[in-house]
Amino acid sequence: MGVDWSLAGQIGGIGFGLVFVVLTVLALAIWLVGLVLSKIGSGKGEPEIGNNGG
Amino acid sequence: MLGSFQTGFPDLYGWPSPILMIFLGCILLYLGIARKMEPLLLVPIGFGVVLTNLPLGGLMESVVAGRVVESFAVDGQPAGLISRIFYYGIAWEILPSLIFLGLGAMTDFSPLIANPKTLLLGAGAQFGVFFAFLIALLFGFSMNEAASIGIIGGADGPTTVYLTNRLAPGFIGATAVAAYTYMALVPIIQPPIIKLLTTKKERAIYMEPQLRSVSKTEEILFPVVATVIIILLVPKSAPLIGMFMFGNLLHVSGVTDRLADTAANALMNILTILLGLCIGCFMSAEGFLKVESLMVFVLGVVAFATATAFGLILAKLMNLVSKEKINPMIGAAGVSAVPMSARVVQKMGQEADPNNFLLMHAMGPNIAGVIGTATVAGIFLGMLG
Repeated sequence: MGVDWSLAGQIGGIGFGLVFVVLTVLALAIWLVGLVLSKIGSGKGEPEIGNNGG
Repeated sequence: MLGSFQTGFPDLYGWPSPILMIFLGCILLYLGIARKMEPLLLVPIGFGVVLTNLPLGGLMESVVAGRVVESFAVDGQPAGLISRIFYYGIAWEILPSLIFLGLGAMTDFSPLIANPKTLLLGAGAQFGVFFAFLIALLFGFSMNEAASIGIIGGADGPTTVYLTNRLAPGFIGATAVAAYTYMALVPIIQPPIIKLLTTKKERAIYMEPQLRSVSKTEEILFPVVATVIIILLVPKSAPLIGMFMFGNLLHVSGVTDRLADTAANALMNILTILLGLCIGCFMSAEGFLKVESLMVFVLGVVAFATATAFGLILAKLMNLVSKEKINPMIGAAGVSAVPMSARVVQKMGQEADPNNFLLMHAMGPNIAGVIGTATVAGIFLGMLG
């Protein structure tokens, strides 16, 4: 059975590119949420409630 | 008087022999019990292998066109104890998805939220999945089989089971055991690859042990934002990502402690028992003792090693453009074997510099790897399913 290398290349290339896009968008969204919340927090002059990342 | 009674002894011989599989099951039990390698998985899987290869037990019986067959049949009706659990639990995609619910309830996303760029390292490690996918095609596997083999590179058992069940159900025993075995072998497989691709100076790059504070609001918003973004971009990832993030929301919301506790403990334990037994019972001699199974193991380690290497190389590339240097070893934790990969990085970091504490830095890419692998499964399903 022959392999459709064109399709395989598309799955490999687009697939890997897409997972990068998804996680990059998510990283930007997290950064943006953190930025907005820190601005709101500093505007109110309230201390941050939270843990130390652990 | 004895009717149709017969013992299982006559069926133990011949080829492929159940004796070999019973021996393999005992090896898995030995690794789990004596060596304490992933015991929660290898003990149920190993016992399942022994159980299913004892002849005439009928645990995996199915009814196909009115006739009872000894093995599980995708197009039949389940008639044995384990084939029923397998059919309704795995073929219906319930167990792997619910395991993600439990994983979400057990996961602390704060290292990832504190340092979002580590998500890229989790994405980079997925290169191994696609690389092994292409190599598997070269070896004559079909697209669906190659995708199921490639996903082993993510070192994520439930995702491997979920994807293989959808794309190549006949390979589920081999891919699942390969994925769980390589997860258990992370401390053996990863260090030589890391040492090969880094200098001692790079391994000693110091990172401040304290990550920035993450507020409760950020923790609560993360699973909601991640669910919306990932599922909008890759809809077929919804069962895994949706359950993962829902479990995490139960954990961080602070108002559903009882549900989070059940998801992370009692439910997770039940699911682990059922999934492990099912996978073990899927490894009958005639289904498993094939050249293809051996190939799955070989290609699986290629996938896992490539994922480790590419995550590490990406971390080195990030250092070229970033002012704040990261220890490239944390890129190797981009495979989703949580928390084993992060622990390996921590140990190797301390070997290079005893004052360097990399565990929390490595947890970011490690958790990103779980999200990345589940996303890749959704991508494969969207393109091939």
